[in-house]
Amino acid sequence: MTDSANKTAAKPAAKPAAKPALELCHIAKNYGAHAVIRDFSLEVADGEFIVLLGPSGCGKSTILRLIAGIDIPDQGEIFIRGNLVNYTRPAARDVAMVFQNYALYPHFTVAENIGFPLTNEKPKPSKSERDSRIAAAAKLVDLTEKLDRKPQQLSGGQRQRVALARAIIRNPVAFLMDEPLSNLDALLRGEMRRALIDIHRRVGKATLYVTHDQFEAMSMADRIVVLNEGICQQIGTPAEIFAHPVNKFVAGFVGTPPMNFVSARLDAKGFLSLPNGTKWDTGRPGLISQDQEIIFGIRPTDVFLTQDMRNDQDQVSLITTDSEVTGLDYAGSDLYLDVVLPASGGNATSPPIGLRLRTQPGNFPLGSRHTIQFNPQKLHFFNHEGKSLL
Amino acid sequence: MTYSHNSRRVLFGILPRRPTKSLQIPIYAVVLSYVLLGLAAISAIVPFFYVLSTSLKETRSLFSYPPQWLPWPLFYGNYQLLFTEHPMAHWLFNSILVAVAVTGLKLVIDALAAYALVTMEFHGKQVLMVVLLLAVAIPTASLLIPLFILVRGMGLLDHSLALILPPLANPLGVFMLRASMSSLPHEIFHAARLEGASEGKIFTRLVLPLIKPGLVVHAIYIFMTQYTSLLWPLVAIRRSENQVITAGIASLKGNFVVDWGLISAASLLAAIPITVIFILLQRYFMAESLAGALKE
Repeated sequence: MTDSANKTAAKPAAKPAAKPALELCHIAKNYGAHAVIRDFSLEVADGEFIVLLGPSGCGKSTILRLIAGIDIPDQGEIFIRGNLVNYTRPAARDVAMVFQNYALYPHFTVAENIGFPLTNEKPKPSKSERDSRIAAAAKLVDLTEKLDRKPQQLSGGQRQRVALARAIIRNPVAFLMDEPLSNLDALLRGEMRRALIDIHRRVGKATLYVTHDQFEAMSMADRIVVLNEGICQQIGTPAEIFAHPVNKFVAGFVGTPPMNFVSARLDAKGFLSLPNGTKWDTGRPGLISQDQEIIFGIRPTDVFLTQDMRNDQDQVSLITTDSEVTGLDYAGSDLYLDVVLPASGGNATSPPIGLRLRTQPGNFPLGSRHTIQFNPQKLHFFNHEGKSLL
Repeated sequence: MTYSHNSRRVLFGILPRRPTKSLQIPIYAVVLSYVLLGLAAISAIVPFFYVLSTSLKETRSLFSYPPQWLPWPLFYGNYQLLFTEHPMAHWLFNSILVAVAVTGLKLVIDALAAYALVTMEFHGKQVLMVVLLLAVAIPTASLLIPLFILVRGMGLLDHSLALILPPLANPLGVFMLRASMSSLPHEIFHAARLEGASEGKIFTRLVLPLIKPGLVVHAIYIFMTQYTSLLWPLVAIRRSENQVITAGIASLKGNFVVDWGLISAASLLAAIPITVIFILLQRYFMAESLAGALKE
């Protein structure tokens, strides 16, 4: 990757996608003694929609700020279309950012807001060119009727669209979006989510989207990057992240309601011993070389009441009887039950094992007892460091 | 007394108002509040009226008994005297010149300094802030002698610049404008930079319009402070026609006799520019003092 090659690739005449839109290599960033980002690497191709997902304070917004040039990384390199931009000023990086609070200019009209980046272009586009580009961007985000309004006169969703149009009008290499939907109410958020994806498909640019909302991440992303405490936990498609979490953090963070975790012992032959004395053959020998303490995880959607089991699903199931209902959460089409597994094998003093499972809404009085089954294909095992054993 | 649990909701307009006795304010309370408000209004107006009345009287009729509240016929001699015997026009002009010049220059300097402090990172920023704060804390009186020596060394004594330059160094305004600018969402600066706007453009097109109320309040504050300053002009200006209005009025007070009519006339004239400015800008003044009090 020579310097001269980078320069030719950056010229508009060069064929697009010769270099990845964004490339982060071993980025680290500290604020004082606090490490916000640790050794983070990522490559984003043109047209890809990448979601950075993690709890608040995990450093995901910092990554956007580093790419945008608002902050400078302490270590590592940032490439935009193959050009090293670590010390390039924000305006020259050719990325557009959409902020959580929209960052609209309150004293400008919608048209002036959208057109503001054009007034900074050199040479400055003519008035007619600016007007036509503003109209095109406004049309893309469905704001044609509102161009003369001031931001205060718009709803939250419309303000978000203005911010989006202001980013689109620059025709950048990549879009950076920092929790753009988190200030909207739930209904509008769903609507804007679909609008965003639709616009993304039409614009076809690399997009890096930050959210702490895993539903947004699952529904929008081509690939999800799960972050925690500044460390990249896993990069993968939503399906991969959901089905094959590489560690306990990812398993617990992705999926609603979260995965059940139970401390247990697993031996080399694949026999799982729960603290209440239950012993199951998981049918997975050789996961570990010798008997050890592990954490086994199962999603509430993979635990069933036996009465719900359909015949075609009747695989070898791990069954436990007499589980007592201790709580329930009604969620419309579903009902989530908290159950406590009974002690078995005369081990009455064992700590109770609480699990959450999904079933159909019905009559489940607290204290009632049911037989439950586990789908053995959907068990997850994590070692004491939280790393997946699968 | 009856208490209706709905009375609060009626007050806040949630429920239609019903004629309930408990909500009616008793007549004596109305009378009392009007009497108190009236007294307050009178105590605010009477001094002005008294000055106005005094300025339209010959000084020798000032102490006549019974006191003459409404002088008739009106006597304009005090006003004439100010412009014929005293350099009243110079004083007013000097005062306005100094106040306008200081206000204009200070707004530019303070706004630029505040912008740098809010949006830029540079070495020694924290130290600079502390130094600026310390400069605010120094009492004006302790600066008089060093300032006098400095201004004399520059050969500016008895010159308007002696009144215009020193206040420019007062950093208080930097902190006021810094507070206004800090209250703007930082993302606006980031977004504008990403969109290729120069610092100059961000400053003039985005920041200044957005902190306009703060700027206006700051301008009024500087103008009033300069217009009413007395101590420094007394030290720095010697010749009467170079003097400003405050020191000019003070000079009207003779050693043995005080011509109250003359002083009253000068005071009234001196109050006119400030009154005009305040009336013109009160909209912004109200806006700024209410800012933050109400949710948008």
